[in-house]
Amino acid sequence: MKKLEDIPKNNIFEVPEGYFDKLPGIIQSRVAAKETAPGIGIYGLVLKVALPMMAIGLAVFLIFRENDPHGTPEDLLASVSTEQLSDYLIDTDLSTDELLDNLDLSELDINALNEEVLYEEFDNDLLEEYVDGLELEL
Amino acid sequence: MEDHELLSKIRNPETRSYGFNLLVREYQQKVYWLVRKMVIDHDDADDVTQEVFIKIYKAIDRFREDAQLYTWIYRIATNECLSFLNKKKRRFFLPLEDVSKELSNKLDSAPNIGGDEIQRRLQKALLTLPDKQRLVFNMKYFDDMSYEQISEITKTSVGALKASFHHATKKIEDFLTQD
Repeated sequence: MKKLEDIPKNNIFEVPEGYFDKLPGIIQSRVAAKETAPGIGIYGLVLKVALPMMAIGLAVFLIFRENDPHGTPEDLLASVSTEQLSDYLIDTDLSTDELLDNLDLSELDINALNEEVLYEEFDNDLLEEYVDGLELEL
Repeated sequence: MEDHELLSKIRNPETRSYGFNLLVREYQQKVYWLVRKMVIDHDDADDVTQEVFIKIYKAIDRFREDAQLYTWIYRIATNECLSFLNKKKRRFFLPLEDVSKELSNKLDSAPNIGGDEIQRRLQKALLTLPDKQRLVFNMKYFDDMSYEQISEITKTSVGALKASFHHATKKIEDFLTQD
């Protein structure tokens, strides 16, 4: 067999019995279901648009933060030397009590601080200097 | 019923459902057979045909009658067919040959397929063609559509369609002479 015209031009495909009688009803019911389906409404639309935008915004923020040469606040704080930090605290108007109020100390931290204070070896000369500096009201 | 009368029934909210039902009854077989010859399997053809009519329903108010209704419907059907076949390739990351092979196997195993061996062989030969060329061949050879009609549907020049049909016929005849 070489030529196309030698082959009978019949449709070899068949459909289940009654298929074309049922199809309009199936299509009609699908169309009706779509017509009665509640729309997403204005809030839905806002959410549909706003949520992906927020997600993209967050992703961009995180990427930029990741690449930020200044790093996180913790990283910035770690780069400040203890000496600079104590100088800053001495120069501020904050009292020790105010500083302590702003610290989030755990029980373990408090115990460690107490131990450090209790077992501090005081230098007598420094202590005398400190007492002399006090303006005591007698 | 004339297309114009059918459209005016669909555009009237009171007769919209009735008018659309008439349209489906008028065009369901033409759309189904066009789709079926492309996707081979009945269940796939059923899904695609339903999608075609749902798209028609959604877009019918935008149909401006600058083309004939059947041309517009066939255009939606051909686009839906090609899109279905492309999705099939993308979904399974299948190369073109594998999709053709899968469809070819369906010709032997799927229910609701009749015909004798040489007619199935012709269908297998058709599956070696690119989808668009197969579509053009089906419309010209099986549906006896004119090149002008196919040109309107596919938005391809008559000259290009004639060349496509000629090449398709040659490829098919080469396939049939093998073995």
